[in-house]
Amino acid sequence: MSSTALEQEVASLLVSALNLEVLPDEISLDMPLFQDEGLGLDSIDALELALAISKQYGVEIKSEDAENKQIFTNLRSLTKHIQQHRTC
Amino acid sequence: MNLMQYLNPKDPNQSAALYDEDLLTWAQVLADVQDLIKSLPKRVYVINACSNRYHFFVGFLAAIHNRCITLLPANHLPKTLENLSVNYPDVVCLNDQNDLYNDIPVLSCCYNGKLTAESHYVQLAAPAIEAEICIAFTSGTTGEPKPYTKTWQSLITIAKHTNQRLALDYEEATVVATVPPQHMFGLEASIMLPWQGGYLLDAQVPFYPGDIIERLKEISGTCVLVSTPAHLGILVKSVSAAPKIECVISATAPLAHGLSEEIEQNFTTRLLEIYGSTETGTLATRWTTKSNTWFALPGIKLISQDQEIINVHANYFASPMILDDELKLFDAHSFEFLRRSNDLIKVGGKRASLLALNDALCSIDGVEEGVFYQPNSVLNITARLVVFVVASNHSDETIRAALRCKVEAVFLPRSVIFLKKLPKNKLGKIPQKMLKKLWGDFLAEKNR
Repeated sequence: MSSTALEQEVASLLVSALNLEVLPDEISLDMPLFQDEGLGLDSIDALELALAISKQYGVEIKSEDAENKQIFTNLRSLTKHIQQHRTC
Repeated sequence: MNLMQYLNPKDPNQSAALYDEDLLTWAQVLADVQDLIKSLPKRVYVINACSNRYHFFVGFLAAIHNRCITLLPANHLPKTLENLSVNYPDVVCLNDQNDLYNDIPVLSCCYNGKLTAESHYVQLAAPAIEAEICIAFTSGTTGEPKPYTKTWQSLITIAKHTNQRLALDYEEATVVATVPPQHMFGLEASIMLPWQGGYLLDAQVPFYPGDIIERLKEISGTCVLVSTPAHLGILVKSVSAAPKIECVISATAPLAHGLSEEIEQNFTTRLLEIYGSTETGTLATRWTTKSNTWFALPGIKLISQDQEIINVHANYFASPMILDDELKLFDAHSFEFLRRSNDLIKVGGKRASLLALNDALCSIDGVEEGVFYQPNSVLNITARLVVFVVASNHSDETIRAALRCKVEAVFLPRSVIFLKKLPKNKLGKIPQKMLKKLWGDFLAEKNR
């Protein structure tokens, strides 16, 4: 799958898993996921998102991953991490 | 009661904590406390912001030894700390991640967590039974957070009685917790319980399901898992089995129906649910799959006044505490939980007053009227809020942006629904039933 297609798919996953009030297209690649000026997600979202990602892509998120904060920076970093580690 | 037995272990070589892979003895803990005392500025109050549970424990013991009172604010945002320092100016903020606390307007002290030689250790000075050990603060949304002082007597009494309810046969059990030690439930179940029950305190705070399972695998021997419905719900959905959990302790919100059975079956464990609050500490427990009935801890009495208000009595409360929840009392020691008082809502373990949230919403310029609503989520784990609002010059974004300055992030509405007017009954009140219908209509429209 091309990275663009995967980006769209992950954006859709964000919207459906977290029941967000935005359309997948409205989530830009560089929009911060967890800060106030971006999507403003919080720690409960992080848990739900980790679950959705492991179910759909077989990628397990752990907080001890050194790059954990980077993974959740924005849609671009999240998609990149999924692309590199996906098992399904 | 001989307090010393609760303070220092009989044998300093007894194990006290797990620090990554290292098993630490009490001699090590007390040596680390002694070492920290040398660098910790002596103030009346300590904000213990250490994220590593062992660091928190050492800081907590150092504060007790120094006769300092530990402050437990709902969060450690710079603004919260600044506000706190107004009422508690003689304060030091102890933390283990210095980079996060460079900008705070409070004296800060970084604890590097380096283990010291355990040959010289301090004997902890016993606090008086009525000594104030910590002050917990309710979350507070718009209003000032309210302080609740916890005495040495209340902390050790609750720990002792919770431990009796747990009825563990294992001496070398490790308490693993997903909750931070600064939360009242976290302090009671992940600091006081292992300390007073003689179990190992695990330094880590595993968060994601993968973290929790990995930590359980790393630990040899039996584990007690201290967690919340949000974490447990996600854990059950993520993995079908978990190693060696002798018992799960859950608190902060009632477990969704069926989840307790799933946890016990999938993880081959027993689940003890705790009922309590920041104000009161743990009040009652139940083995959820066995009984709906909550049993108060020994020494706690619940007495109903005027059919409505329930007072809680315990010898460690200065005066009876009034409960916010609606309970069906069977007697002074057992009850069924009916519902939270209408004014209180909970999201992800945080509490807010609906009245205060509605005030925050209505105080936004251009908002004529508005109301928060908590729909029942399908999962019923993390039910987020929505708002109904009458405000012709606003958009979703401007409402959320205005609320962001006034309320904590978890309470921000996921949906903002604009109406021409709010539905009201003859008494001028907005019935929950009507909000539920409006929400149903909104969802139906959205999914069409």
